[in-house]
Amino acid sequence: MILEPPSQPSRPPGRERPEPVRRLGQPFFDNLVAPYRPGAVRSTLHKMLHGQYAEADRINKIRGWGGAQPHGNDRYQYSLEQGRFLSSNLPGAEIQRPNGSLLYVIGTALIYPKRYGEREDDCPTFAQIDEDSEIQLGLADGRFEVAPTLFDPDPTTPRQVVWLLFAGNHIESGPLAAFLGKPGGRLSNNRIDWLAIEPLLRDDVDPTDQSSQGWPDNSPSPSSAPLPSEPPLSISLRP
Amino acid sequence: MSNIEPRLISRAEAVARVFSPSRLTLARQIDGKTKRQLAESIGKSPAAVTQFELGQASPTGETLARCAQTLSFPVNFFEAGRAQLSLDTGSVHFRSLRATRAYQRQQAVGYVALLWEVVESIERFVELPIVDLPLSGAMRSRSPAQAAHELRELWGLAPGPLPHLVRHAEARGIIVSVLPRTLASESASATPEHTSGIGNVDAFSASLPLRPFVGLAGAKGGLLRRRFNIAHELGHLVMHPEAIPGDQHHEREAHLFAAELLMPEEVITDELPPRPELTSLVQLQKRWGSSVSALCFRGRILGKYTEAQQRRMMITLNQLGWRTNEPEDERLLTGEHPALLSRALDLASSRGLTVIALAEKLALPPALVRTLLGILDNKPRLTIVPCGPD
Repeated sequence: MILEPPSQPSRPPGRERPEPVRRLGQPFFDNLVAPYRPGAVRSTLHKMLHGQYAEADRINKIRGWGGAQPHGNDRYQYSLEQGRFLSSNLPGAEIQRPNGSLLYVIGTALIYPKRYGEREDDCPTFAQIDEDSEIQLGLADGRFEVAPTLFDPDPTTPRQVVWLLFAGNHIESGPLAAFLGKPGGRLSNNRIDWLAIEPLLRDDVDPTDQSSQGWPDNSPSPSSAPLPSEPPLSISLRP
Repeated sequence: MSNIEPRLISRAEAVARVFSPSRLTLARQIDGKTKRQLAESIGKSPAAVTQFELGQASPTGETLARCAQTLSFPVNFFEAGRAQLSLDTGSVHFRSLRATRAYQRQQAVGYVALLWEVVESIERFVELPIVDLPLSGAMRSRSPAQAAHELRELWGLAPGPLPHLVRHAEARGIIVSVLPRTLASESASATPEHTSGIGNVDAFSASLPLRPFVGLAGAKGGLLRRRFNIAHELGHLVMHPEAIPGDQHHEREAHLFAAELLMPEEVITDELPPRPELTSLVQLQKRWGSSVSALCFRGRILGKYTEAQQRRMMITLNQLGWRTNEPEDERLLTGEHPALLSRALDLASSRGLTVIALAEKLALPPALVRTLLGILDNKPRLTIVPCGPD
């Protein structure tokens, strides 16, 4: 059997698509990941996505067969192995796996990675949620609830749900584009009503920077309340 | 061995006639040297150094000059006839005793002896704040939390965060001093072991004649740690009139005292997050001036956090390197630098008591006097710029 070289994922001819959304609403992400350096968080998330694609590409080459589905499986399986990478880059950050799903907990952000498309010019607002997934339905509303357990009786820490939206495919690899989205509820077509969307990488973030370890930033906060005055030192010259 | 200037030998010969053995011991201890190390530096045997320190033999002028040079003290420091504080290491509360070597404890005690001389000289010109700390063991029978609560009441402190802890202590007549990174000279003859100074001494305290004293490590930890350390030492001073250095029970009591003094249960309990989370604890760190690990420790003691939760946070803090070097907002910690003695000297300068005058009076190097007083050296740095041939 002769294997045909894979071809580019093609767009159906004759269908005009609107200009993809690249930004929406106000920037929101950096405040959520304090006290980490936001640039380091963004860079780390990008590296993790890139690592998932690179690993799936590598396995695909060894395997020599299969298309998007096994590539996607490999990508997902590898993402489960990235907890150590995450915590070494962003100490205190962690991967959570509620009901077999996968979330990154960084600062007060609860980040859910979701592939929304194949091509770089796909629009992140077209991300489709799986209506059979209770987790996705809740996350679309910005909700994420963990049942109390014996060892963690009060797990209800307020967190902001963020969707990590990315595009890629098994031929061109990925991520071809990546965004951070703040959900505002589910729309009738299984899409999400986005309150805000912003690119994952900003101009000041170098995704290849090896030194951008995200030690939490504890620099002075300009909003710190003024301190009460110091107690006076009662000293005087002897007569 | 380097040559000694004839003028210094001549001066040393005069001092040798009124040589004080205990001053040699003091200088050696402050420099962090063993008798053997001093003996090697001055070309004598360790037995000879022992005899000098016991007063069984007197050094020659040249030997004394070599001692002065090796230990970085002016030669007239070794003159007899000055009052000297006699304090042994057993009468001082030392934290981290197990990690503290004997020479480091002696070095710290020597430092206190010199500081006592400095304070005594300043007090002849300046009235320092009256001591307002129950030192007679009145709080001996109290629980650490009760004692901390009573001290807050005595000092008129409202429940809540306690900024400027060092300044509060100074305002109540307590001498607070930050130990220098190294008391030893910067000379190449000092071994690496000794150039680390008194690094393993985290903090220590003693009830000196007239005034209580708290010494804080300069090289270890930041200002947040300094705050906890001084609170810990205050606990020793009010609860443990008799020092039992390294006693685990005393140490634990002082820890609990410090936790309650800095983070009173009645207020902190409601502010601690339900789970020890870095983001929330960093916010509390800024409000309370306590490190994340101290806040987590507090939550554990108050039964808010489980041991497993605390351990997990400690692992995270270890990964961050925050156990030893936690980032802190220095703008919120301005009152944690001692200022009492330097301000007192400022006042006394109108009567002619300056750093130089004090150094000459006490026969100490001016740099050491500045360190003892907590005066930061703001001398401009000169840089030599190489010029080209043209």
